[in-house]
Amino acid sequence: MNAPTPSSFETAGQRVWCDYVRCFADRVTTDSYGNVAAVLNPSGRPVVLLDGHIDEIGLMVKYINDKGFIYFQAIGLVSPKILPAQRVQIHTAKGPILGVIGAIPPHQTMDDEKKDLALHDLAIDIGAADGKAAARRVSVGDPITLISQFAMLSEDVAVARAFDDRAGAWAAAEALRLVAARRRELHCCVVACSTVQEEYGIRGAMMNVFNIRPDAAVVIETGIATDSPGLDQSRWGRMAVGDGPVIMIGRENHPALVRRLRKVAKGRKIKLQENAFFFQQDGTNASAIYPAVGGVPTALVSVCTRYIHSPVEVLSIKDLRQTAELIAAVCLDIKKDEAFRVEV
Amino acid sequence: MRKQSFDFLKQLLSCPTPSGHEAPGQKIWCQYARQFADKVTTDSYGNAIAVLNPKGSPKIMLDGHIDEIGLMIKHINDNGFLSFQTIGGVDASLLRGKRVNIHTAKGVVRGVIGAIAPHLTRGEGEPKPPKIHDMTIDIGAKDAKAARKRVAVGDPITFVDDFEMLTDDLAVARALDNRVGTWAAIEALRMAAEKRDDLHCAVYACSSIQEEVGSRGASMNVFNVRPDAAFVLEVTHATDSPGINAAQHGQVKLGEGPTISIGRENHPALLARLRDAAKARKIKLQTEAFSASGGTDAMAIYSAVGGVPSAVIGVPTRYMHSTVEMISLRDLQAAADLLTEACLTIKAGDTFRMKI
Repeated sequence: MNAPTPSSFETAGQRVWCDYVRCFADRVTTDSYGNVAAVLNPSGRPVVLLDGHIDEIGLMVKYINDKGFIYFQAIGLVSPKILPAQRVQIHTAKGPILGVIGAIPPHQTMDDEKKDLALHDLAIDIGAADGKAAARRVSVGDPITLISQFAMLSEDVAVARAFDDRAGAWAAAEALRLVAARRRELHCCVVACSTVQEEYGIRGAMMNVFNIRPDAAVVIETGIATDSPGLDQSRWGRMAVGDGPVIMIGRENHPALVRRLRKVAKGRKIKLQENAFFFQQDGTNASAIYPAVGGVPTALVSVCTRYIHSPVEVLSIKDLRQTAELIAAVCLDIKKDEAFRVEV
Repeated sequence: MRKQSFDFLKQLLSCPTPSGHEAPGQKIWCQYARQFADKVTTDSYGNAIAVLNPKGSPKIMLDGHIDEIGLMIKHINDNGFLSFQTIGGVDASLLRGKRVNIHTAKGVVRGVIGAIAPHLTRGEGEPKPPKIHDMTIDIGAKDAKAARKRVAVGDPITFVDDFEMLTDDLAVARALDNRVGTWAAIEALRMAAEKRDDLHCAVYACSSIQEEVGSRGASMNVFNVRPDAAFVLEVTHATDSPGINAAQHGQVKLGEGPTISIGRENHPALLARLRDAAKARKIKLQTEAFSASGGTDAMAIYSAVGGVPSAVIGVPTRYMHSTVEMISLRDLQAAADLLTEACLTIKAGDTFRMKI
């Protein structure tokens, strides 16, 4: 969680992920854009893809003004509201630099009408004397992450920036590890992917599904928890932190895989939450995978996460662990040459 | 229209097929297709493909999507009322006062979308259009526990309104979008089968799923079929009812024949074929500029697998995405006839290219 991996700058996280999966995968490969695939039981069939994306949202240096303040654009969906007064790391060729996003003191804004902030209203201060001094230390195009490290809030509930979707990439690797421990019972080939550039429009998953040609896929994502104040459950459905992994119904979620997830969860006494499919069209990597290469039966498994796309994403470690256990159990439950089909 | 074909259309229209839940409609379509096709297959997500003359060349895909817009249970409220989300582009302002069928694992549960009586909102000024999450479905359950015994989060929902004839030519139904397309695709295959001695190309009639949530079924089919050209049969907006500005949306009339569209996904060589075929069969065509307001399966097909020459054939439809969609059966029959003729005039080895 502490490695910075803004979309298209995922290498630091991929190294951590690779080091972990090399302990138990039969083969670990990377592609031209830095996707990583860890394969277990390559001669098994069907081929089951486990996808979690390693990239996180972030910012990027857009413009350095004469006074040495740094303007930025978003990488992925970043709300300007969460940015004022944040500490940031700018990842330069020569290493990370500390900066702060300025905030106008309340004394000066007391009488102003409230208006919505735009990204270009905000600037990063790195303590540079002027534009020239700033340009010596940072360059246009340098990626930026917010500083907010992992911490436990309680015994079970953790906070960090970018659980979305390091949680998913972790669960894919962890499921692979759990399956590897019982590989004599395994019939299918499992390919765990740590995928790049989800936050840019599910690009890494498009590459992986073409390169891997899976027969089925499980996508692991953080799901928007609706149990914190201000969220209307009649609008977003009920999704509570600590109540277990969430499966989704409809659209990309293949009915046969959904049934299998339910069955395996019951057998393992894992409590599941269920919700109708997430209305956003390209919401997750599942949307890239299921219509590709002629149709790939896909299911989304979500880990309920509060305050998504903020530096204080909150989830339950138990939910996360159960997600990995559920997916491992599903992989072990798949029969030799099993096909997932909608019966017509 | 042939009686059996008309009955098949009615059967298709009486069947619920919200996107992602198309199997009941596909069953009907496959049963019908097996009478004429050389081969009928389905894929993992439930797309259905009927093939005629599989050894022929080139491969022509006829696409119509079987899925319809609908609703899905999102949340069962503490008092037993059901909150829902949409499947596809549902107009929230048309929902209050509708009867709905909830398709549960144990069968259909009837519900109604409540409407607050006008007496109770008097004096509150002009009513605002409702938001989806402001409305609920009432299944007569006394509380959440009772509701949960009968329905579950994720159950798909369709509207009750079925097929009726308004005149001897004009039909009204929910989900003519796009059962008429999938009907025309297989009808064209049927009519081509009757003249199979004259047929050179291979015809792949596809009943595609999940168009209303982003043309996903067509994306799968184009990869699996790898066609040399594709005709997409869709409903198109008739602009001859009150309140629609032809200057903005073009002029399309009910009963004046199927439409062809110019530009973007619509390949000029295929348009020329369609015009010739229409002339040969004395079918009146209407012409539209490509749809700026919405996509069809053609958008998924034409830019796939290296580029597939495609053309959209539209059946003029009033009140699209409502429960009172209206078409002319003559337009629909003409669309199927046009497709048949277009397939029959394709010679072995024909290619469709821009002249450069």
